[in-house]
Amino acid sequence: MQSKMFEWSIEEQEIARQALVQAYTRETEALMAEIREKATQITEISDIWDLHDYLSTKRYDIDGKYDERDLTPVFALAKLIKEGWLVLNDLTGLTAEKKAKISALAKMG
Amino acid sequence: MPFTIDTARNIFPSTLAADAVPATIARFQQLSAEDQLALIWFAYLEMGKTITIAAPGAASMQFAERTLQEMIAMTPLQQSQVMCDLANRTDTPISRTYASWSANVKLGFWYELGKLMEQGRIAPIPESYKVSANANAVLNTIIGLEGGQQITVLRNAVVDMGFDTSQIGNFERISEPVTPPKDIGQRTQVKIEGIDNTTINNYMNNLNANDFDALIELFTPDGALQPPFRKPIIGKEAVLRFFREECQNLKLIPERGVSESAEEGFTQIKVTGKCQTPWFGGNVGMNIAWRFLLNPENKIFFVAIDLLASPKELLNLVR
Repeated sequence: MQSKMFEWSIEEQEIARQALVQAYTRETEALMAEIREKATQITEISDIWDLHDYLSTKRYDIDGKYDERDLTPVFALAKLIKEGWLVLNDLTGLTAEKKAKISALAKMG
Repeated sequence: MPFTIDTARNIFPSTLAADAVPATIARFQQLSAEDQLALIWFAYLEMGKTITIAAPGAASMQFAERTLQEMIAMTPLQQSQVMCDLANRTDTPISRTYASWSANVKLGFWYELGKLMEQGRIAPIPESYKVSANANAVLNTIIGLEGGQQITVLRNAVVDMGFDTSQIGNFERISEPVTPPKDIGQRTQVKIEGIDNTTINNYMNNLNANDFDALIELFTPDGALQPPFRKPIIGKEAVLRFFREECQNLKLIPERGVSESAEEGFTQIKVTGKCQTPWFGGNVGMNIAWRFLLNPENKIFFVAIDLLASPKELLNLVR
């Protein structure tokens, strides 16, 4: 039972898909650079375990965040904007209503 | 107090401590099945020293009853095998049945198994069982967590067991019956310092009264709810199912909040406080932050629920 508000046109789905790909590339490249940097700062074993926990958390986050099966990607896109991997301009072509919701969600604390 | 969306964004920094839950679960899942079971057992015994776990209601246990009886009739070796199969997520009939249960039925099942182990009717974790150093390290991490985080790790550990439902295709979800809403006369009204918004108050009051039909009407049709460490649950139907399956008999104790208008007529409201679960009652108050995004009609478009690492984080809001 999908209401009208869930509807994404083929064009909009493609915009969302491309945005996800773009954000994924940005985030994973940034993560690789960050981990290289962090690895050079290890001075004791606890730093390694902290890094390990950080990696586990990142893996979980990234594995779950980029889900192309998501039929209502408003929340996923807002999260990516909030985290800085997308800007609203990457979503040009979505309806004003969807962009307003994404923008308001992205500004949430 | 000067308060803007930008300062609000920094109220709940994602500290390393807040990430301890998914990181610990990831380590737990790499343990052997025997170690996972032993660790849960030891954590249960350890927690039992300080808090009393409430027995699940008979109504929620009827669904697990047949499986429990089936297990009692088995040899100790077979019983251990069933539990290992659950932890290994092996494809067996019992693992499939288990996977179809709601979180509360699964928790109730393990609670009953624990009791049956004490009675000697289910093969216990042998006293001589020595957990691996890996499991010991994970156990020590869990012991070092704050109460609400401990519960979340252990809860997720058992909820994730059983055969992977995504591989089953169509299956009937089994959950405990919905408790009828409390009578109007027995309902309590929350009072939130700094917030006077009917939707927010009704959210808390309806949830505390198990009045999920009234609760869901506070949401927009495309509204969503994000439980701690999970993805948003989107759409009224899915959110209502979440309330019925996982939010019965919760006690929300919101304390204070701040409100700020956001873009396009939306309003953002943050509330902090505590949440008590029926399992642990007043023994463990989980430290919670609710972040609401209300649309111009004062309906909930989004609410994120965060489990905070310490009571101190609650106070960050009122500084």
